[in-house]
Amino acid sequence: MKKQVTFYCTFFLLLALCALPMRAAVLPLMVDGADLLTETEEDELSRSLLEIAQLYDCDVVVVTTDSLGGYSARTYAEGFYDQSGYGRGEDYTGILLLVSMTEREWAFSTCGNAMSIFTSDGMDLLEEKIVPYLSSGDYGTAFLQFADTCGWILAEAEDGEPYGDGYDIYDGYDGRTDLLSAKWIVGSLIGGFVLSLIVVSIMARDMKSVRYQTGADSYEKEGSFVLTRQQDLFLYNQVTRVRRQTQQSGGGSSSSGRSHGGRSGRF
Amino acid sequence: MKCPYCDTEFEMETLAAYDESLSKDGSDQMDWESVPTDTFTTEEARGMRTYSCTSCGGQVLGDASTGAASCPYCSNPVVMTEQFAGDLRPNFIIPFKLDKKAAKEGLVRHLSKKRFLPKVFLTENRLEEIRGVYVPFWLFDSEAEANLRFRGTRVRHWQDSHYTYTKTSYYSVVRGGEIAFEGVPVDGSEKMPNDLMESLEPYDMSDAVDFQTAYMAGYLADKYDVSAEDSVERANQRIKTTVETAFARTAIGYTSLVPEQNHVHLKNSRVRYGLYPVWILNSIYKDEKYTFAMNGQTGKFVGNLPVDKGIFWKYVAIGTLIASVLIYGFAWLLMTM
Repeated sequence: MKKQVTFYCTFFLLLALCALPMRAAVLPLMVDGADLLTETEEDELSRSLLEIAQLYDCDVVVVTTDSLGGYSARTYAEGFYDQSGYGRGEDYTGILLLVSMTEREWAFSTCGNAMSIFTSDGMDLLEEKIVPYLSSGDYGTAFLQFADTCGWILAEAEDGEPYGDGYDIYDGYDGRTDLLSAKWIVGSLIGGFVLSLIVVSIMARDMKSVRYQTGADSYEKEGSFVLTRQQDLFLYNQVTRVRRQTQQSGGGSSSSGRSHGGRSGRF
Repeated sequence: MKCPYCDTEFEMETLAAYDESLSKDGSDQMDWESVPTDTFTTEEARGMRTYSCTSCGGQVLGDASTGAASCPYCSNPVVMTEQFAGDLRPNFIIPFKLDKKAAKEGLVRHLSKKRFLPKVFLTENRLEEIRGVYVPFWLFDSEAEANLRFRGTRVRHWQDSHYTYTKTSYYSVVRGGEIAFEGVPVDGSEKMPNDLMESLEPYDMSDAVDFQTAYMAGYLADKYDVSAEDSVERANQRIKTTVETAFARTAIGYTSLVPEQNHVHLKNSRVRYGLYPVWILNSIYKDEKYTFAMNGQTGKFVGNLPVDKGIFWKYVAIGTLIASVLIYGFAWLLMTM
């Protein structure tokens, strides 16, 4: 009897636990694998990151590691992001900063809406802000700068246009605004001109009616054609192949199949 | 077995068969026999005149009654020179089926519905001359035995998850057989532009009759000044081209077919001398000479016309507008997809 009660209690407790939103409690936004920060620095940073994440509904993660273990910085960052389950909303929106000590490499990895929010210019800004601190060994400041700058960029994006030029993936970005630029109009005109020139030249072909004959087709005697020799001899084959593009340009793809944006560098 | 230069591998049987087909390759043998022609009888010669052009030196023959006034080539006056005898008599003639009125109507038809023609051409062009001329042609008849070899390819594409593959299979395609030609014409008059004459083709030999001076009445005839020997090359060229297309048509299913060899042997060949009817119309527009010609048997009318630059560029401008809008609109649609 006691065993049964214990069993059912544990069962329902576990069930209740499952009902809790797992993520909020479990996933830390600061993972200091290389142990670069002190306890206090870690706490402060975690709080900042959580604040920003909740305010803008976008995970902002900082991860440090001793070594990339043979992977490229971006691949490691993407893999870590996907496998840990970061990202808010159905698109797994978030940005992750990875720093690896042995290789002295860093990487950003964006996912979901963050790919269009953190544009090339945005990542330029982040790079500018944090890499000098990483190089000088002041990791605490570097990561705080990362959090602040991300917060700023996210705030900008909320107000209107993302900082910098847009990134062509989500419906937040309207590709049509690009079309209005001069180069598209000029391009259409040039293309239209060339097409028109070709078509009109063909139309004017009937102005020239004097030309040499190519053969003597009209003078072939009807019924005189006889095929007496016919041989189709196979010689050899030649096979060539071209690697297919299975990935979108501008983004990598992790093993979980999700698209990521980002960049990497050294410090 | 492997080729030492390109590393392609071949089956032994393939090489043996290929070698055998190569050894069967021959060469061209395209000789022509001239059909003996008579010369004009004195009777006939009496009724004919030779006229020489004072300006370009062209020579034409005319019926005594024709009284030719101007040269069909350059529109300058001609004078009657000597009576002739002993000139080559044509094997046959295709008499004029269409008269001067038909020629004028032909011109009107030719100028109509030509949207790039300068509007003023119709009013400003001066029709200098309409002449009915019999143009001398060398006609080539022959049976031909042909042997051809092509390099053919068959291309196949397919793909899997990693690559797009392209397989090109190469074949040696051999074709041979017989084909006959009748009446392949080559312009025998140097003054008559060859491309103009060829544009009037085809002529229908079924209307050809034995030559009689009576057919000459009211018309001029060119004297031939290009020999049959000099015309042979053009005839052979045209025959070989048709032979190639006729036999290439029997090689089906190839992505590409490149001729490697084309050998023709002629049998029972003969060359005849005939006169074909042509209406020549010379016109001057803005100080430039425009020559039109009409096939006196079939009515086919040819002649290059000037393109009005204004009209041409107007069309291009309108076309550019339409095309640009279409391209821009298409790009816009793509962006929103």
